[in-house]
Amino acid sequence: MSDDLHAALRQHFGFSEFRPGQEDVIRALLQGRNCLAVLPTGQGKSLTYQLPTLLTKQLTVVVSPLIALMIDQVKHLQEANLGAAVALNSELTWDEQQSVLNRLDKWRYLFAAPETLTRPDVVAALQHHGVGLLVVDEAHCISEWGPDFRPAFLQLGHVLQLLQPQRVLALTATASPRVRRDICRRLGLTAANTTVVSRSVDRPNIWLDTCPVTSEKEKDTLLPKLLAAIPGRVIIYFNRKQRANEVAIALTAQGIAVGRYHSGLERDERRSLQHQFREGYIRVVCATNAFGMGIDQPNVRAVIHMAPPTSLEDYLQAIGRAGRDGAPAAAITLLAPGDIPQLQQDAVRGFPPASLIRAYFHRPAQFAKDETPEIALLKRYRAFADASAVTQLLAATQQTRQTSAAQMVHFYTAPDTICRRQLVLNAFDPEPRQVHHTADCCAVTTPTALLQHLTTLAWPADAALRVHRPEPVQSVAVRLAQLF
Amino acid sequence: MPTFLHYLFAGRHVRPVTMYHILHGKRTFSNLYAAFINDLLPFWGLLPHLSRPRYEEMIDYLVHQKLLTEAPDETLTAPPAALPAWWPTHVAGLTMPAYREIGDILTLAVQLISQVQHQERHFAPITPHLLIQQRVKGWYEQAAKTDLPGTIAEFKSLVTAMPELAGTVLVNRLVGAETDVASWQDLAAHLGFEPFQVQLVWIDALAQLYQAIAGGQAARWQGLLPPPTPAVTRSAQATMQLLADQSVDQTAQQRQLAASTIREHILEAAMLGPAVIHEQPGWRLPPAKADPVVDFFRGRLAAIARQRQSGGVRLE
Repeated sequence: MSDDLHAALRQHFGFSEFRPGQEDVIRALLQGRNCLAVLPTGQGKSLTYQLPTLLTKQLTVVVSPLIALMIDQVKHLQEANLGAAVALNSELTWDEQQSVLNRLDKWRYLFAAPETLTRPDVVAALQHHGVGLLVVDEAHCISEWGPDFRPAFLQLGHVLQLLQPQRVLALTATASPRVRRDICRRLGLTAANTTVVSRSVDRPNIWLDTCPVTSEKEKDTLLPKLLAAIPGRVIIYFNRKQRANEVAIALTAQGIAVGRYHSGLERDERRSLQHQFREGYIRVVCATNAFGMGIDQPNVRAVIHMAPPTSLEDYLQAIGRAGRDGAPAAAITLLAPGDIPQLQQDAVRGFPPASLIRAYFHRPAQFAKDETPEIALLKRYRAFADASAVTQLLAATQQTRQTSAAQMVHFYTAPDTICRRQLVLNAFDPEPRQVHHTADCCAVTTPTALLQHLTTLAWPADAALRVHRPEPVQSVAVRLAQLF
Repeated sequence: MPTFLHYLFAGRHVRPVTMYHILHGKRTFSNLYAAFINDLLPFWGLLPHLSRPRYEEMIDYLVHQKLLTEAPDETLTAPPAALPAWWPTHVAGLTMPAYREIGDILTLAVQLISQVQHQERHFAPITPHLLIQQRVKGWYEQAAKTDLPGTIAEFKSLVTAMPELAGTVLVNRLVGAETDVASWQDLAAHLGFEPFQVQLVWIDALAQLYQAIAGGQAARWQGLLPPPTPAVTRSAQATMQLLADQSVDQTAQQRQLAASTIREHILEAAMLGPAVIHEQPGWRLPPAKADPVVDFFRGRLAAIARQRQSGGVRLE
């Protein structure tokens, strides 16, 4: 089977070798077993369901938490000619959704949010057609002990019982041991029928740096110097869209090819930005955390956080977009005095008190026009549980958010002598290795020391981009000539 | 956007919620009548994705700035003003398919031809809409594939004949092989407009292109876009056919509708149909002053006729 698998890998994907963990997952699935795969970002998780789908020629249903992520994955499958793929979501009209469900034999991959998958018409169509493989992507969302918990994921266990897929694959990049247990319990994955494939979250080629600064202004002053010191592509993360816009404008004024990415972008604008980043027309992307899922750009040389992420999981997801080619890369956080208090405040914001939960569930109609975040949250939960269960769930989620924030705060504020990489491994690896700490592992630096260290990294020779971005707006004649 | 709204209200009297419904394209008789009588029909359904809170925020701003004033009948108005340097002139919401749909169809068709021209067989369609994908694929197989150079030449001819502003916005919002869409922000910076104005230019350019294609200026592209939709609903058309030979009451009985609905159908046809309509003896309406509701109908019918004869409204 190994030779067959490698031949299929070459034929469909053009790779000669699997990345760590991929072959184990695929082998388990092809043997008819379920699988929980905890593979670090950048290790090609999607391939672990694409290859079995191509080999078994059965329908694969992928449960995905974000529409943007589904669209990216469908786009990738279409461009790579890996089989007919469709995302069943609100972007399609009702008629279009029904045409998909009536002709499931036309599709090899069907992507859907958990909310969609619980719809009776969807369940009925899938029951009738049969599901070869059901993939739960970003499976940590199923656990209220994970910071990205989504209540609709709670329904998946029930849906699995109805659909009876031949195999189930739960995929995640970051899951603590507690979250792993939760995923298995909720999806009904038992030791007898499930193979767990787990690889360390460690990405040793990424240097982790925390750089305390005195103010936001100092971040703005330091950023262009960092970009000058880092050759190649850089992703800069912000926690506010407006701030991302402001910095992008300032960097553009300095002659840097910058793109902006946030959830407000239209579909074709998102596609363009990804294409320009891939082709090197854009060197730097200023983004909120909406950017990144589904981005598989191997030669991103650095990820810079201009504000701390809300959890260590988010931090790992973000920095995992750097250095996927295995060459040296940097993950830098610029930390101003107000950042940590802000992070702690954000962790408690938006959770309704128990009295509001009771009032809402008692008379939900009274809140029909209420668009506050707290009520919006309760409206989402109401479809899945009653007041008492929601109170418990939200209490657990709030506690998780606060714990995650505390973990993130500890990561940034621990004494300089503590190895940050060890903190990450201890949080996520079931059996964390002892890190041999060196200067190239991680550091807490001053801006000067940070700039100095960046000059010592062995950047790959082809990191510098020489391609100039074409003018974004062209004359009618030029544009028509380019199109046709 | 506030500037655009300000100009929409200038010289008119419209309730703010009605203006919102007109821009959203919420079809009720009262909204249609308000749009007709205020000469707002071209803007019907112009902003289907405009959120109510955002709209109300802008209205509040304009009122607060005293750019709009509230009349006792709860309508908003502003003094008549000369239109700004650029103003949409081709939009015709009621008789066109949704702008977003036309945009998606056109963009996918251009993407398909562009990718084929660049020998790229596998690509991700720019729109996820399966019905649009089917439509474009069907059109390509039937009309474009056999004469790709001719199809491209027709498109180029259409676009280059447009005013430069409209052509520039339209082509820069298209995608193709190795060709990315220009963002609204990039176009706004390039043209010295606000992003919202650029979006209006795009919609108006789409409308212009649609009308040119529907008018037979590009035969190979005619099958691509859905045909114009009749402004008068089928139900109102059926009513008008019956009224040619019988009274309002007989028609109401035959169609199992209320007489008031039949009268609304008449007003709808009078506003949106091809001809000016006057009261006909065959309708056998009660004499004047016998029924105030019917008199109200007569008043509206006369107002519609006056408006159309003054040349204020053009639909078909």
